[in-house]
Amino acid sequence: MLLELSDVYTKYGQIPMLQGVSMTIDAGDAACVLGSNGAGKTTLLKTIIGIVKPFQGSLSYRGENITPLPSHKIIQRGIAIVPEREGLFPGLSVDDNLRLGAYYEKDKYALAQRKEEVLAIFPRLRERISQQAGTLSGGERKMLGIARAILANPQLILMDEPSLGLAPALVNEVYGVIKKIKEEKKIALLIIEQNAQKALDVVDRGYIMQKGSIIGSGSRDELSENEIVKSSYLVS
Amino acid sequence: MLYAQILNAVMLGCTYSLVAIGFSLFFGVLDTVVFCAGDVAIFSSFSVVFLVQLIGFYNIFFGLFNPVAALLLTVIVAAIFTAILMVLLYQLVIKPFENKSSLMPLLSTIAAGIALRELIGIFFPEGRNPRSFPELLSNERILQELPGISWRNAIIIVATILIVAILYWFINKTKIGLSIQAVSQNREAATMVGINRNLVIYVTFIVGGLILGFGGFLIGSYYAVIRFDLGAGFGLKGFSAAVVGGLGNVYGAIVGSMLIAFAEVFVTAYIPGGTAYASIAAFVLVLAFILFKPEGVLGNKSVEKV
Repeated sequence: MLLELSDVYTKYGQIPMLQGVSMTIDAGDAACVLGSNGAGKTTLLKTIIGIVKPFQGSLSYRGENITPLPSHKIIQRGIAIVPEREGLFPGLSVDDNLRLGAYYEKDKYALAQRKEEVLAIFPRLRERISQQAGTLSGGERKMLGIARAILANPQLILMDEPSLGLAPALVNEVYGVIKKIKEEKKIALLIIEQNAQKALDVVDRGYIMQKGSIIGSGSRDELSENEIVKSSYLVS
Repeated sequence: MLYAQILNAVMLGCTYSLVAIGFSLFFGVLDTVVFCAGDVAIFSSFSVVFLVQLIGFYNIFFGLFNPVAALLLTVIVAAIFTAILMVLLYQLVIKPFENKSSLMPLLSTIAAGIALRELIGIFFPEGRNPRSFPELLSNERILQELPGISWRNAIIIVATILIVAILYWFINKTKIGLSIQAVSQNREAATMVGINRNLVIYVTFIVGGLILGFGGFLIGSYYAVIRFDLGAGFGLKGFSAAVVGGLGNVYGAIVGSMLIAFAEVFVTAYIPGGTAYASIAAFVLVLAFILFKPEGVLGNKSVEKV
């Protein structure tokens, strides 16, 4: 098992956020967490990478208890995150943003090779390599976020609402890339989404989250038939 | 006349620059104004006096090496003292308030600045009296045909350029420099790519402390006389320069310093009785920027965060 959350509780000040969340992600697995705004999805991601610390429950990654570790130590163990928005360094070039993705890579040769692979997936980023990240369009920024995550060579990528704020054509493009990562790179994915249609196209299974709790889970097919998902997240 | 005034303004701008860069570096990674930066720079000036006059550090090494090596060694040791002080100040008066309102470290660093200057006044021998700064840089002209260009002036300008160039290289070409930029631009994103923010902050305080340390030496050399309470004025000018240039942007800090220095020098030179108006001119400039261009000349960070 790659990642396991056992009965995790967090709060923001006095406000309860996650309330007894348990879930698992296996190596190469792709899962999604569906939920509306305020369900605690982003808090879940921040908890996994240690920005938010649980007051009860634990997290383990490849069998190691990562609950007490600071964020940079958790990231070093092979988890990358594609934030929802504002996750880039707007004043730095695309190239520097990518370099920061591979912050812990010491092997320069491997890094250069990986960068080539990533730029082959995202040719538009190659064209804009020395441009400031702040000048990119919404879709390009999303691509840069994903490219940066791949460059870290992680076993698990967490994605926070990859479709949010993008035009439908761009959503398809982004999900096309996500599918490619899953199939070619064998990287495990945990995708947080409100756009269930798109997410369920890519993942093997998923969780439904409401008010900080997991209220349902199942395979892609099971979720597609789930009444809550159908009524709340599959309305097109 | 004009030439002499420009030279004067550049010299003054150099002395402000390094303090202003300190403000900008610290603001970049912490989003708070570390108000004791001016006093820390003056601590460095007194460290040089201590090393040279009180323990004869410079003379000891003057005999062993050549004068340039002895001078460099003295300045570097003073800068290291200053960097250690800066890290201690971070640990004692900034870190405890980190997750509180940014007004807390603002107040605590103002208090630390006052304490530091008073401690110099109390514990440094005759600390409350103006002290002459050792003339480590010769005041002789490099060329007789060129008035105003003494070794001292040339070294102050060249040293400032050199320090800025090294800082530019460090921030843009090294991994830790890139992570300082990353933390300044987007703290949460920096955490998300796995940057150790604490480490970045300590490195920034060491680098900022060294720069203030060199700044203190240049200030002492420029003014030739130092006082324990000079830091208050330098802190205010350095901070103002950083705001005018764009708080958080180290290159903006240099531009801001030069603008303020030119305003001061030219008002002094061309307005009758101008000396009295020099500081007023500088702060009118600052007010104008706060009103009409609050992000500063090169800044892109919201000033509201102060």
